[in-house]
Amino acid sequence: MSRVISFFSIGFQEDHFFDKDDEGRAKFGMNVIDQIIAIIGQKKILPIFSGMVQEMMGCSDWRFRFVGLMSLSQIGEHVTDVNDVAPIIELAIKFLNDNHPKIRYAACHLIGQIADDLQPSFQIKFHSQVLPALLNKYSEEVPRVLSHVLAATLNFVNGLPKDLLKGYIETILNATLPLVQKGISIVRENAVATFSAVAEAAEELYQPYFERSVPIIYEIMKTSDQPMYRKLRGLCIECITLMCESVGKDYFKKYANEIIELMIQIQKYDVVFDTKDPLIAYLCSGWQRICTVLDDEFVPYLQSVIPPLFKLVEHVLKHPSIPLEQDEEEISLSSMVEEKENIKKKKNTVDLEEVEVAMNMVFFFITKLKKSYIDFVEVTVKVVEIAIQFNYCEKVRTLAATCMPALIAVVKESTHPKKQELKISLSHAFIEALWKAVSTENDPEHMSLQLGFMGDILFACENFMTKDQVDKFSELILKSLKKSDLRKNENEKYKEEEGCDEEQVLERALESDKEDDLQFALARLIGLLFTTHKELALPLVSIISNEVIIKALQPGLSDKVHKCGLVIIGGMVQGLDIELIPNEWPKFAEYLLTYATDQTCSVRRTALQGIGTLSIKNKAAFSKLAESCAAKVLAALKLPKRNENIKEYLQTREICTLILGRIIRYSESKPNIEVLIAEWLTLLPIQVVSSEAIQQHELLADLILEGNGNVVFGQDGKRLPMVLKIFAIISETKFINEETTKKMRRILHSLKETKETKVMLETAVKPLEDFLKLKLDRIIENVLS
Amino acid sequence: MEKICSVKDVKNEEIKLLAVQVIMSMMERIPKIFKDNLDLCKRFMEMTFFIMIETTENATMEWNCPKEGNNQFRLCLELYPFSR
Repeated sequence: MSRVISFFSIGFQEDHFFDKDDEGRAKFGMNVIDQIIAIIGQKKILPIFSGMVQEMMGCSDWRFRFVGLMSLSQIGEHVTDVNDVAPIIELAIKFLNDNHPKIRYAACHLIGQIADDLQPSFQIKFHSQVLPALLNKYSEEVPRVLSHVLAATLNFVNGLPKDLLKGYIETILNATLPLVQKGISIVRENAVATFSAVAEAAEELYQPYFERSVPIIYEIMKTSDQPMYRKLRGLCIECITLMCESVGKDYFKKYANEIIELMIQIQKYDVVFDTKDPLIAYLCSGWQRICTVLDDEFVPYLQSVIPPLFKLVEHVLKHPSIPLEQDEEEISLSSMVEEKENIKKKKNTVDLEEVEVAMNMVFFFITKLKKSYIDFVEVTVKVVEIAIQFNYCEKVRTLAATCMPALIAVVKESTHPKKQELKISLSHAFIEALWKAVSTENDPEHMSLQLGFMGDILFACENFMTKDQVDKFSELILKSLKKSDLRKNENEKYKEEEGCDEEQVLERALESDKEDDLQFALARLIGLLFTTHKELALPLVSIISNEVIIKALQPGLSDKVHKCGLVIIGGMVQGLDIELIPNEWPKFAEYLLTYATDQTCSVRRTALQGIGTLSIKNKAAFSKLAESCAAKVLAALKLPKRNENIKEYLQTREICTLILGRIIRYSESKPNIEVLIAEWLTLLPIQVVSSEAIQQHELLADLILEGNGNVVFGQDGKRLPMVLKIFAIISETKFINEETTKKMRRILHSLKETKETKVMLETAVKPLEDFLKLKLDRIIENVLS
Repeated sequence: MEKICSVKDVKNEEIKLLAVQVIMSMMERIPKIFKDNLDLCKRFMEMTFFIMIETTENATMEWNCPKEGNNQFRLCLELYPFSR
């Protein structure tokens, strides 16, 4: 969990445009300037802006210089070349020593903002000018300004590369240490935060300073128990846990018990439930860091940490009182009046980010601790069930949904005596909660996410529903598909209405695109229903075939819609015997073959996956299709890469390779065997779809050992060099198992047995690179020994 | 709008801010008007700077040295003041 998030989590709300104080006004103005630059474009507006600021900087009235500096802080975001800010930084450093505290404050603000906007290039270019200038100001007399000097330092350190930070650690810590211990809280808090920034950025380089700084921060954490120091205390928790994370377990162990005990005490006795308490978010993030460092050694503390911690999470979820769901970034200036009211309310409530931090922590614990988490499943389910209904923020609902399959995985891995029953009851409860959540969700994007997690639950729990439950589940899917279709039709109608401008058309098109994603999520669910519940889902075949598959696989529809049809067929192939769907299968097979050569990689990949599944699940049906498959696969391999990412493209090619291997191995007719083997060997070894690699490589060894050596090696052993290269590449990797390694040894051994094949072997080895020759030698040596 | 913003004795200062907001809203919706007339942009920026300068107050004792425990929200702003 990054420190930045935890800052946000405490309620960093800078855009309070209408604040009565002058700083609020300055921020309002700065936001306006920012918007103007963004809308008009930096090329046109920056020259005008610079001229005006220059004029202001020359005024005798300090207020003009203050506004000039504050406005300049907005331009970092719009600058592309870091060299362009050189004159601005010179100006800022000069004004760090101005007589007026507000000018010094604005100069710090300017440095801090640009450090944040242009990191790390700004830090790399200006560290030798900026850091000494800031450190010189640590003797600043006005606490407000000093606090801003520290804030600017921490922003600068945040983007400073580790190798450059190395030379400053000692100096920054020596200058900051006294400020941590004395002065008013506004200064101490930023001093602690600067410590955190250094510790986080320095990573293992912080080790020499760890022993010196931990006791100081620990002491503040222990003694700052008055309400006004909650923030300081929270920052100490953050600082000490960040230090521990940076230095690692060996260094941390010495202090682990004391720190953990103190955090438990704070969590138990000092967190205040009836007001917004910043400690909650700091504790949530802190525990995650400790868990990351200690790993299994954190397990003994869980009983003391988790139950009270989850009470806090429950409290945060139950008492959010947050009236808005809008992302800060999305707040438009045009809605400033409403924002003003919302933000005012926000100040007196628990922050939304705090809830997110809490839910992130829940998910972190589940996935990190795995089976060690089993004792806390019950308490977590309670929290997750509240979170899935959290109306104020879709991110929280999504995080809750993410936790559900993860909890089932915990149960699956555990040694709980009733784990099967527990797994089933959890799956039912989660599926019900997710359907409820989907039905109240407005945004198809979030519906898709939640349906995705529902699919993960189906996949994780496999066959857990009765016939009636499967029917009900299918009904809900079909209902959702129909609703989505209706919304899509509405979008299309709206687009054709008179007076609909370009922007609205685009908006509707995006909405329809989201509906396509939603329908794909629903199609995946149908596919998984067949995969997991097999014959129980059989009555669904004819409905789905007529209502969904045939409609979705018409030519001319979008790629996403095509994938919907294909993923369902894939699910049927996985879960059902083809013989059970004799009427539908010929049509489905035709669809798979047609789309196996689709121009869009993701579509042909989905189709090829269906064929690949068939080759494993039903060899007889696959064998019948082998000839057409071979032609399609060879054609698919010829398709060039388009917009898709390289990994997706390579994976698709590897799926083709897997299918070719199976055609060669299992097809009765062995169509064009010579061509297929030659192609197959050029594509091997499998190195992207690692789950299939072992099986495919074993298949190659088996083919040779079963008397097909001549076919595989080709006339005069022309393909032997290729085979040897494949053996050498996969040897000693995760792409091969012990069994296949033994088979490779046997093959090499038999090649050495006769004079003729020995010569062939030696000739084939020659062109190989040295490291590959060595790998082959190791296999052969083992044979000889 | 410029007139509203330049009047010094407007009691409710928010009227000035609303004037800026109205122009900002126009710029967001019909940027072309401003893109084609940079003088208009300049005047708008001047107006904004004017409000910022006019409302900037001197550093008070409370600003220089906020009371302990009286800075719960303000601190959130200060601690990570530069992130957008």
